[in-house]
Amino acid sequence: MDILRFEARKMFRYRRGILYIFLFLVSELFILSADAPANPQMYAHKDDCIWYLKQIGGRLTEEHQKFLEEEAAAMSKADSAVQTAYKQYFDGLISQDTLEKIVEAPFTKLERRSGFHAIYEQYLYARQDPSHRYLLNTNGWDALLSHDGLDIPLILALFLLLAPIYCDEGKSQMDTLSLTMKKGGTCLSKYKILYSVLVVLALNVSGTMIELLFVLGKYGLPNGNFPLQSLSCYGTSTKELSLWETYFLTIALKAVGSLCLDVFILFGTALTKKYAPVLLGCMAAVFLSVCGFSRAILYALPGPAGFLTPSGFLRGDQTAVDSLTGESVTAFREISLRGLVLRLALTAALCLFMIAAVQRKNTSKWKQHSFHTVSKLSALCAAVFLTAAGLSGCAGPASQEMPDTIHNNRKAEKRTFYCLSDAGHYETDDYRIEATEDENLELHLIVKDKHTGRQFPLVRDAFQDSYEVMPCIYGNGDYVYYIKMTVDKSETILYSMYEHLLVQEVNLKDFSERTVLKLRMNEKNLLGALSWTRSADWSYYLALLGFFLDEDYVYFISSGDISRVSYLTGKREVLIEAPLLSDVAYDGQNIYYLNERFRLVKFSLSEQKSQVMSNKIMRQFTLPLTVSTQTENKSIESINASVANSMFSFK
Amino acid sequence: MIRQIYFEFRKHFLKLPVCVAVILFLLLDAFQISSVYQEKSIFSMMPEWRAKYENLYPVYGGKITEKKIRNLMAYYRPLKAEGNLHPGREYEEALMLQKCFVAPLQYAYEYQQNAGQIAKRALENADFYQQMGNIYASRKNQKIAGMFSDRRISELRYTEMYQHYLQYDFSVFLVLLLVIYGLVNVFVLEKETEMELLLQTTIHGKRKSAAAKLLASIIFVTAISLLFWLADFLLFGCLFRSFDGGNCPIYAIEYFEASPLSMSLFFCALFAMGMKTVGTLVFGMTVLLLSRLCRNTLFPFVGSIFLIGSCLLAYNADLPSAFNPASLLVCRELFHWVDFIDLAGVPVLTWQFCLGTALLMLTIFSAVILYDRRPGPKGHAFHVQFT
Repeated sequence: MDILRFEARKMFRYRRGILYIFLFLVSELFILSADAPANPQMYAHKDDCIWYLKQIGGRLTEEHQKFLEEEAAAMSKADSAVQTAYKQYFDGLISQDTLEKIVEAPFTKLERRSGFHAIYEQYLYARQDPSHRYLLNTNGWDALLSHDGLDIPLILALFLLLAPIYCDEGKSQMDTLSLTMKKGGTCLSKYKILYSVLVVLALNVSGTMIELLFVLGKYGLPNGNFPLQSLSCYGTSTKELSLWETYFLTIALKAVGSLCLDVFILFGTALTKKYAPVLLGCMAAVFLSVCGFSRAILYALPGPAGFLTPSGFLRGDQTAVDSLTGESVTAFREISLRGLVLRLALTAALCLFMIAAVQRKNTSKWKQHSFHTVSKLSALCAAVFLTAAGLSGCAGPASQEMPDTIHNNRKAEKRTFYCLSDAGHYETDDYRIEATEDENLELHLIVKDKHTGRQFPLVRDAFQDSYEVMPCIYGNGDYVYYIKMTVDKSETILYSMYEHLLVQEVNLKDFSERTVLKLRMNEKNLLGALSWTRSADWSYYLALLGFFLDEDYVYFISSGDISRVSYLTGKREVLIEAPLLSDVAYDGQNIYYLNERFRLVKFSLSEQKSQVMSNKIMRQFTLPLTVSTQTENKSIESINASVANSMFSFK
Repeated sequence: MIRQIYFEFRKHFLKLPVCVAVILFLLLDAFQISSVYQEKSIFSMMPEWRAKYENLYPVYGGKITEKKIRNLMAYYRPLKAEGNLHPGREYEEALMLQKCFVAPLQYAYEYQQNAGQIAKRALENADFYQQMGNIYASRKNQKIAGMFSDRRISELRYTEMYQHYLQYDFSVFLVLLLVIYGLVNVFVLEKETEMELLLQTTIHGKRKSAAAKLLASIIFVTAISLLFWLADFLLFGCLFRSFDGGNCPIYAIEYFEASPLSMSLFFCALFAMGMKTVGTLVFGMTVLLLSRLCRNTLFPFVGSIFLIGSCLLAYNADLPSAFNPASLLVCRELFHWVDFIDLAGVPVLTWQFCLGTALLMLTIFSAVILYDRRPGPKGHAFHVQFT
């Protein structure tokens, strides 16, 4: 036991192991804090979902199916009732009081609409295989089970903690001394191996516990006895496992992977007593095989890489669409439990062989190579290393460009109002810009010079045939913004994919153009480490109604929601969910929109809070607030002094 | 001096572990390239197409003439009509014709017109911006007009090999790992054995030794890079069974339709090799600089992995990359699209700017390595003054 204690003191005190472990835990927490729910809709409407799941959660029976279908029918009936009622009101057929009475019942029905929508989506998935796919709140399980990247902080912490176990003594040439001791040699080496195993397990357990507690706190882990196939990423798996079993299997496999990496490092350092070749070898074994190889090879090879990304062992067949013929082909074949055991056995045999080699190295043979300096900077290295870990952990698939400095001097400028109805045109003192379609239904953004009457296109790029321009623009002072999407031509494929979405800024003074936001719509090949799903966010952007932007975000308006994309991270988050979104306006601080009851709602961007502005029913509004309905045109009292007193007005 | 460089080279790089690593990585590279072939080549997906393609290639391939196009369309149209009615053999043959001949031929045939259109539009834009007083945009468009005014694709060739070669960048990681591994020890080795002091007392020990180490490292990095890029090129050629198409301009590949370059594909491949080598050299000099400044192996190793890793990650995350040497390593993105950087009102092509900054960094790093006058190990308070 004394030997273990001495080893512990060496590792934790003299080699600052405590610091590394602390940094490891901090970076794990940091990565977890960037976690986003797998199903944002279900997360946002958790209460409604739970309400539904209480009634129909679990196995999808005939009654549940019937209930869901009836509920869906009722929802759509209520929805159309509301729409008809409002149409009648706008046509002047009924009064407001009657309207209120008519829509009251449908609206109570529609209260849980978003939650129901999330459940219904899951039902559509579960319906394909009702015996294995149950209904449940999946966010917690998805957070635990469906990610498949490498746990980089863990790997780097392993490098830092385990590499010096043999190297440290090797480089001060004390390993020869240890061979002469009574309990040196194989005995010491045995304790070292045992000790490294304990450290690896402790790191694994602590990392796992942090993750588990975080997920339990944030999402909860209900219904752990449901089958694995309830999660869509395991939908095609044929393994008969419950969610908890899957989770325990996953963490066990990950522990096997890190133990295997541990043995690799010990083997290398014991044999060479040098850092460089061992680190090179381990980097190659883990990172190259994960980034470079196809999944079939990654999981076929014995060694740490596959086990460190364990979810692949449990997934089912994955199909992909053949880019040439459009047929679906198998991209990944499921690994059976027998295959998994075989791979485990192979890896274990390899590890045993390596341990035997390490032990042999520490018995009879005197070492020849030496390693001569003391690493005074190792604490700094660790900090740098783990920062790298943190960085690489959170640098996900998001893509973005830094915010342009030009935005910072924009604040002082004249603030304009943006209305969704004006998404197709914008006017300044000199120009009027309009989105028009010609006889071939091709979209043109046309600039009209108010003084001379001259017309010319806004998009003045020689390569304009190579991308698609979206039919919405946003203007602010002398700046006009438009969106274009470029088509990906890197591969010969049947259907066209988008490469980038670019929000372009045109300065109306001299028509110079610059890119404000650049979002990558496909996946980049470089360092494109494993991901099982392709991001299909471009379909969202194709259905845009309008957009506007401020210093930090670009806000996109689609028919069901308003979401924003940060210049810094490029991540899209839904800001306002509003089914039947009919009109939106923005005055620089607040977003005004009509909710599903056609009431004007103010959403304050600084406070992130919604507030219903008036009880008046309206179909459209403009800033400053003149309200128009089909029946009457009257202006309501000014809501915001700065809005009303502005010199700037539309229409 | 040459002898000294040779000694340094032998000391640091002609070692068994380096050679073993190079050979292993070459094998890995070959394996990776073959999987690229398996996944992406038309003929590996549709093996039966190759024989048909080779039969038809002499008829419709080569120089594009009106007659060939007419013949091809006369052959293709009925097949397609038939194929649409009865999916089967005709459908597949029509698909093959479409993928291998009709679409590329159409692209090549229309390219001249499209490029002319781009040039014309660019000239109009240049005029427009001139009126608006936007000199930069006007110059930019004039440059574009100059680039696109005389572009045409006169031959139809099998360019798949070049297409995938130019988009392949797995070997970059291998080379970078080898470079880190090879260079971390260059300056550290003598410090670790505390022979540095001894070295400073010899005639060729100080700056000459540093210069020899620097040159040997540059030779090593260049040699390793070129070895891998050439191996890639040959492997791609062998696997795709064709080096054909080297004479075609780069824009014969649709991905490079708006490329700022107009050289032939073969020269473009060579040029890409050069760009990648410069990028690797910049990273290599970073490693060497760390090795020069540090006293043991662990820090330069960890530090360079951190620096290079963050450069690659920053590039991958689409952060601005004009000053990022990683953009040279993935030079296809620089060749992909005409893109300018505003340098005091003068539009400079992005690849030129990136190459310029990389060369500048290379010079600065080399100068720092060469002229670093830090004295011997800490605790030894004397400087070696005589030379």
